[in-house]
Amino acid sequence: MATKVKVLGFWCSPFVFRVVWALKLKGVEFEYIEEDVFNKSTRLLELNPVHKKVPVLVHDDKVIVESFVILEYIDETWPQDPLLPQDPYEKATARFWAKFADEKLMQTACKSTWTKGEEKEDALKATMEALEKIEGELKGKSYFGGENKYAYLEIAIGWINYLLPIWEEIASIQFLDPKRFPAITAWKSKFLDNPLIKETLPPREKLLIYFHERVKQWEIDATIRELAETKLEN
Amino acid sequence: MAEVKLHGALLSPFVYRVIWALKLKGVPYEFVAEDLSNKSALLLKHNPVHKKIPVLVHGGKPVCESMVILEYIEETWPQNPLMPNNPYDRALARFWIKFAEDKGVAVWKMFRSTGQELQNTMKEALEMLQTVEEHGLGEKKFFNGDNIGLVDLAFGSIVYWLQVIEDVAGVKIFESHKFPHLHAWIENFKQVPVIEEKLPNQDELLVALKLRREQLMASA
Repeated sequence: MATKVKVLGFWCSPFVFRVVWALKLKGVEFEYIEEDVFNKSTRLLELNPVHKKVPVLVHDDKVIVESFVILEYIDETWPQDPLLPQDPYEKATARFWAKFADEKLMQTACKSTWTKGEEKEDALKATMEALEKIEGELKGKSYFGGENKYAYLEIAIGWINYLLPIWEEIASIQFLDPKRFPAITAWKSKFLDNPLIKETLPPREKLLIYFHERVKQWEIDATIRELAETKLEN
Repeated sequence: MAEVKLHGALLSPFVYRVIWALKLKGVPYEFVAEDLSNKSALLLKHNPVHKKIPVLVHGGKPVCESMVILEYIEETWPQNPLMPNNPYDRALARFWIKFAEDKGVAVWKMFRSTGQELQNTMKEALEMLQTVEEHGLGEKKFFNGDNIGLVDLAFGSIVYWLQVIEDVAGVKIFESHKFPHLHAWIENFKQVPVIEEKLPNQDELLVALKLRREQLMASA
């Protein structure tokens, strides 16, 4: 029985990659539709009216949005090669760390690229603290999922392996110091060597060009915000 | 059955979500009151990452983050299900739970702000309410349909606390003519026997939150 699965995505989005990796791991066929997130299509706005964002999963006539919500839907709908553990406590632990990485690591790491001076120092410090906690969670294990290299957290946190090095290069900073984060470094190497991951990642040069422009834009946006706030105060 | 303990503080809407879930499932638990200005060694041991309440400790194993705890409770004690039983409806429920977590922050920010910042956070909170009114709840009695569920617990704490925070901050955004569905829903929510029994007294909450807000403003 053929069911139609579509993914609306953006070529370098870490949130979209989660969904693509999960579907590929489970051997679920899908049609990928690239969206221009800077010029959103009517289709995207209709499918995700609340957030107007990618990824969007369309399964037959059902529409699911928000990457972690999509991951759990995928896991429940196609139970082969499970992503989440069966045990409720282990499941809760996986959900906790996925949430942590998005809330405490992604924001601060991104911020480290476009801020300056003290703000940049603070963002960098917060990023390193978050990485330390993740390092602690990974210590002594090959993968977050123990010996299971396709577990939920590999997919949820895998973005750090391709995105942090790009941000490091653009902003001339170092996040993933191998001496400080040996477990993450070892995991990163295995992750990037995985053929399934390799075939999905965009070329490094393309990512560098894109984020170079994005960081510049974020710097400009920050300056505009600062000026607006100063105007309000005066 | 392994022991269940809940570390919390009774001003916290996040703690109440967990209390409601445990009560709805009929799970006995011991409440461990935490002084947030002087956090216990046990709390810091159980939640070293965030150092926050609530923390649910089941058989000595800690679970942190209120909505992670709620899904844990749902999976560990399957009686009186609080989530739908098919993947798509569960995905919808999880969407709104995440929305409550991400956008509900506006209400807590309202509590902590004054002047222009208060105006900004009120606008955010209004947008959140509008989206839920239009897209999330519609004409349904509860978010999942006829029965109370985790989504109701997520929003229940936000809206109940909002009603008190409005009085504390001297503002009004949750008006019944603007949000007829949500107004009907919060009344239904408060009348669920378990919830009715375990709602903080609004007058006491008002006094306590007023004091807390004064303390926050003084130390700013």
